[in-house]
Amino acid sequence: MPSAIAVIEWMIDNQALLIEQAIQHMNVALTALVFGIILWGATGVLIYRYDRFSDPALGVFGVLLTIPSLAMLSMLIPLVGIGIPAAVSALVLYSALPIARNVYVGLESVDESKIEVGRGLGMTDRQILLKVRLPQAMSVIMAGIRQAAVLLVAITTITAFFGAPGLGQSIFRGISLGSTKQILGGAIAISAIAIMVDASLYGVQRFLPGSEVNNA
Amino acid sequence: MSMIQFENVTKTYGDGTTAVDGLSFEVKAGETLTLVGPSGCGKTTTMKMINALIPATEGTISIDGVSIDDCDTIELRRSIGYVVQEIGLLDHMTVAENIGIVPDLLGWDDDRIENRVDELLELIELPLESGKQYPSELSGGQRQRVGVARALAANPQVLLMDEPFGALDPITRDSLQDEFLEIQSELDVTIVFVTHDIDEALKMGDKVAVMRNGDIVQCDTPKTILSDPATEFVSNFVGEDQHFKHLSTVSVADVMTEETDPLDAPSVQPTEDLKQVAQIFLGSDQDALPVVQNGTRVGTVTRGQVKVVVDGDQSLGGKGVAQNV
Repeated sequence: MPSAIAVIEWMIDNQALLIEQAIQHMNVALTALVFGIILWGATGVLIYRYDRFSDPALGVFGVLLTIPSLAMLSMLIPLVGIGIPAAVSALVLYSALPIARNVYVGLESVDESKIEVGRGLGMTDRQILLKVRLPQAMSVIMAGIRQAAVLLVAITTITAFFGAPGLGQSIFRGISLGSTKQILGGAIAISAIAIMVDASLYGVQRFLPGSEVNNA
Repeated sequence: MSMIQFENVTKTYGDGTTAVDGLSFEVKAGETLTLVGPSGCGKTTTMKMINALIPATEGTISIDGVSIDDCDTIELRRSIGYVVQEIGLLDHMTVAENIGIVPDLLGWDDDRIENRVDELLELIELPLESGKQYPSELSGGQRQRVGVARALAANPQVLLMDEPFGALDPITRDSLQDEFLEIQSELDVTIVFVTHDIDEALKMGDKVAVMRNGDIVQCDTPKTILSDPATEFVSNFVGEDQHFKHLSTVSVADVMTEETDPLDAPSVQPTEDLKQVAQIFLGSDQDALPVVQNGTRVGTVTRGQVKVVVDGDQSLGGKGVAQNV
């Protein structure tokens, strides 16, 4: 077991590599997150509108999350190719449950009296969704997005095994070289990214409508 | 002319319960009707049928002579002011955004909305800066004022109020009621006001409709409800202190004499109601009080005059103590 100092020394010596890999890591994770938000956000709204699909859809998304990352990647590579395409596709699938579920639950659990106010003031169904329901649900939706973001930053590590870039490269090299300090150095950098992404999304949340809603 | 008219309106829910049963009544233009009764009597259902939040099963509801079935529901709701309890503000919007909701839905331009919001903030006596605040930063009373302002934003001819002051403490409620009566006296608006509080119903209404089991038991002026309850239910609902309540519908100006002999006693205003006067009499051994308006002695009110009202003289008084002076 290397000392903390040895790990920090390794990180300083290899900072150029770590920074490059960190940028690649975030690139993969955040690309997948953006696709995930668009795809699963819309899915969340749809299964809210057509409620009979909500249970089967969320059930399938739950099952997706239980598929081990290596298995998921192995299945995707023949379909989309090795490297970044497989990595991003797998990550988008993993983000389905936290994002779609929180959009659905958030919209579903808005205080009905608020909806009735919107209706009583003469809003159309679409206006109620956009001006009342979505902003009221925003803190729950953002909680799901933040959870997905942290999850994707973690899983991106595994995708390095199939040639995707990122800090996983340092970790897998550390494993093959038997260099614990290299493994730990990569892991620390990944944790730092996860914390940073979560904090930034929390910062974004405060500028979105609904930040004043206290339903947490 | 009747502004709001119900003809044989019935509401039956899917499970077979009848919330409102063959209701017919009218509210005249500019009049306030309070709907009052125990929970489950159908008062809220009745009100929500007016802006089609609850569709009537049978019968016709018309506003200004036009059946609401012939109106576009969205336009109908935008033309009717709607006040609910203070929790009804949308907490993700600022105070100004809340007040501006209906003008925004109606497509007013931003300048016009902003001017209207400022006007209304002034009307409800909130500082203009509070427009930028969120509802959570205001007190309950202030939030309720904003709720009223929001309902008035697009100059509606009809205002629906669903227990608007129900969540407030008694002191705040009382002062908001007074403020609202004052605002209302400057507007030409027809109001349907739902409450479970008989005192509020008597204070706010030109007419009070006492409801039970989906039907109106009695619809009359507050004075008649108090002095001449139609059934035992009404008289029980009004409560045993109805004679004392009756005092609050009569003002000093209604009963005072123009006697101006000097009196060594606390003075009262002509606009005060006899309930306040009775409290002074109960707490002292005076038999007469001087009535003073703007610093000038204008008359005398006596213990005997109060007693006449308590004993049921029906020729006096009415709602809007302050207005008929």
